[in-house]
Amino acid sequence: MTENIFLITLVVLALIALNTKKLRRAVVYLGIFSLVSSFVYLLYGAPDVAIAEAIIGSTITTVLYLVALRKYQVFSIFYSKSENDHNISYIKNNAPFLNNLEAFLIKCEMEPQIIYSGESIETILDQKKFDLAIHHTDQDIWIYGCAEDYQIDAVENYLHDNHGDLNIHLIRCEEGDDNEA
Amino acid sequence: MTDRSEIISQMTGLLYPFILLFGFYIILNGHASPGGGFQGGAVLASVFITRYLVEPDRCIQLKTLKTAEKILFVCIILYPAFFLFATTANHSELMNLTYLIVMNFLIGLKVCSGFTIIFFRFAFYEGGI
Amino acid sequence: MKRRVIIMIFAMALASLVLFINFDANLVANPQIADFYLENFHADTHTQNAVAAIYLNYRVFDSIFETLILLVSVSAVIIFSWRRTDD
Repeated sequence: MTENIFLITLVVLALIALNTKKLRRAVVYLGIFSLVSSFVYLLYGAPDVAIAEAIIGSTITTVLYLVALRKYQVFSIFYSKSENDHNISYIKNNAPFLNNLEAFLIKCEMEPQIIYSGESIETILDQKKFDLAIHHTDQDIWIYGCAEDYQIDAVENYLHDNHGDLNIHLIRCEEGDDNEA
Repeated sequence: MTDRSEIISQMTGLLYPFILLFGFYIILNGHASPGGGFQGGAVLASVFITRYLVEPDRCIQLKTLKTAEKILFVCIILYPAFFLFATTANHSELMNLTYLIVMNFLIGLKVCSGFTIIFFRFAFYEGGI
Repeated sequence: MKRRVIIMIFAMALASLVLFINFDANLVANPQIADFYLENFHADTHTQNAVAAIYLNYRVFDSIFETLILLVSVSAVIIFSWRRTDD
């Protein structure tokens, strides 16, 4: 009888976890789900499995999911121009390739986050945590990326195929102390 | 998790030795009570994982853990190969108990290092913030 | 709406199939070998825990390949992670 109550609780918790709007709450419901299922294992007389389920299901995977949600595919791009013109709409109109790059990253299941920065490119390279840093001068576009990231190759291929007419230079810099993503 | 809470870090620091003790108890008593290498190793790994919640900026030395995992895997293969498969004679009680405890211990350390490597690799070497 | 109804019917059919199999199945797969393990594990391995006797003595390949699976998954995580550095 007790087992049946907890089995029904399991089904209800699984449905709640499926129907929540926020992923964070779904993770918490999954943790409770694992705890209840470990108790069901205990009722069926399997304490070994219950210990493993309680630890792995409700500690390790919960923390792992929360960390995954925190770094949910954010790809930060720093954008700076050489002139002192910080008019964002002007920059947007002048750089259609930036919108295309954004669409390409979304297609690659990443979430691009573009930061229009007024600082010079050297300060960005030294101090910020970036995945891509774009420096737009009058004729050329300089793109800096960490040489160890494998998305750089895909970005380079995409830019070469679609924007070959622009003067794009892609520079792979060394992984510094501060610029690791 | 950049704004860390003082309460959580103090309480986790207080709980470390007890979690470690519980993990080693599960591993070393695995031949007599429920539990064993896998479960105890997961408990030991959860110690390192809660350490990430306290100090999210510091990574640990993954290289030594990686070599340790490989060496432990070779030991896990070799000990049953020499103990169970090599000889056909009946073993004494002491030899059997040593075998069980040492195998549980090896499996526990290996599972602990494996989970820790997976978690820290994920937390520090993936993209994002 | 129609799609939801079809999915609902499919899920109910699947659930009834699972329940049918569950009530029909014999929970202990092979009673002879289970009885053999329960009778002889203490004499064979001198331990109090039958589970430990099974996964470290009778079925030791199970443990070995389980740890091998963990090793392979750790290598996969290291290879496929975003940053390519090897420490």
